Amino acid sequence: MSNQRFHKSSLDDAIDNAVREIIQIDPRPGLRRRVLSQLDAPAESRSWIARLLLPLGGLACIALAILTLTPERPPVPAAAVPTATAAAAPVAGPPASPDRAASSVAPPGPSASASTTPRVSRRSRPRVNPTIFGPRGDRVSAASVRPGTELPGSAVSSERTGGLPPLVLPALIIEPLNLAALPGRIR
Amino acid sequence: MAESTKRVTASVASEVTDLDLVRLAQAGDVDAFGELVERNRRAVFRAALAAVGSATEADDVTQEAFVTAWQKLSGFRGESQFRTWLLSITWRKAIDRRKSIGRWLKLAATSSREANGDDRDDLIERVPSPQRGQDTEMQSNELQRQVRKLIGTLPRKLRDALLLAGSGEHTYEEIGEMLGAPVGTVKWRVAEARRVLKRKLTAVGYGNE
Repeated sequence: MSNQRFHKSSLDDAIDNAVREIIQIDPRPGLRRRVLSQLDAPAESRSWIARLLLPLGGLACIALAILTLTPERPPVPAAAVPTATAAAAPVAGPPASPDRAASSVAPPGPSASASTTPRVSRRSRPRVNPTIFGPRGDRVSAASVRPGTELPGSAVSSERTGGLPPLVLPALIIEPLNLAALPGRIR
Repeated sequence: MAESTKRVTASVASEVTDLDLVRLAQAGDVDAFGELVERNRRAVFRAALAAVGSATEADDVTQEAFVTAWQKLSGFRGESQFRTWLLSITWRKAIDRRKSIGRWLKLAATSSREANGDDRDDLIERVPSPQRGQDTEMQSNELQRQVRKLIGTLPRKLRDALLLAGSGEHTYEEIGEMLGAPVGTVKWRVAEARRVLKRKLTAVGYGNE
């Protein structure tokens, strides 16, 4: 075969030549100018980014402020919770449904959206309690019964309506125990 | 800044070290950085070319590498040579480019196909025609095309080392820094690449063992 005359030294030369041909190329002229012209480009793009981000950041801050500074109901004293719960059960009749409870507790304003419902409903148990000191919602409970709708026999309820009428309690009479009058089994 | 620039240009590049230019560039002297570009443009370009295989892509990578070097220049502490640091940036960018485009332009194959109008990829298997080999110059040209084609088929590690070593711009130490390999490994890869090429050339009829 005629190609057999390419000896190893020729192959080495051929490899060297081919490598040089592939790699020993110079960059296009004007590289320095092109590079230096690009050095300002990043700063320029940064300024554009800053121009875009500043108003967006401002809007985000405003939205955050609205969300965080929205007035909430005053905190409920922990001691009032069991009182209201105990009072509401016998007097108030049918309790409000969970949905209604959640909707009545949701704070007014843009933050009162469906997405906040789980959080509000979780916190609704203490807030549902209409405190005797704070404003009252439209929920029906022992504490929200008005004087005109006072149930018979519930003298205490008038106290929870705002304390307008004085508390009237029947006099408590304690009689001494008369063992002699008891049936004979105890003897 | 203007004064320092005049100093740089007046003192003719050879008297100012790369580190001097780096210090000036770190102080914001763009022209000093331009001198660094001028000094290292060929080494950077050829390193990029070895990785991406296309002069156009290598040109883009070269520019990106210099711009990145300018942006990161404040972090350069002079613990290594600026050129080595710059080449490392270049190589990373070139490898990213090579990965992103997902291709290695097979230089030899492309040029060979363009020259011959041949779209076959299995040129390695093709035995050169005896009729064509009558003329020594023609055979030599054919051999060159074959070698270029075969270089494109080398494993990347071997090909990178072979091309970087053949660029005439990089020392083995610099190549080792770029490839993340010891100098001995780089030398072995170069030698192995040559061995593979010769073996393949012999297999297609060139040379005799």
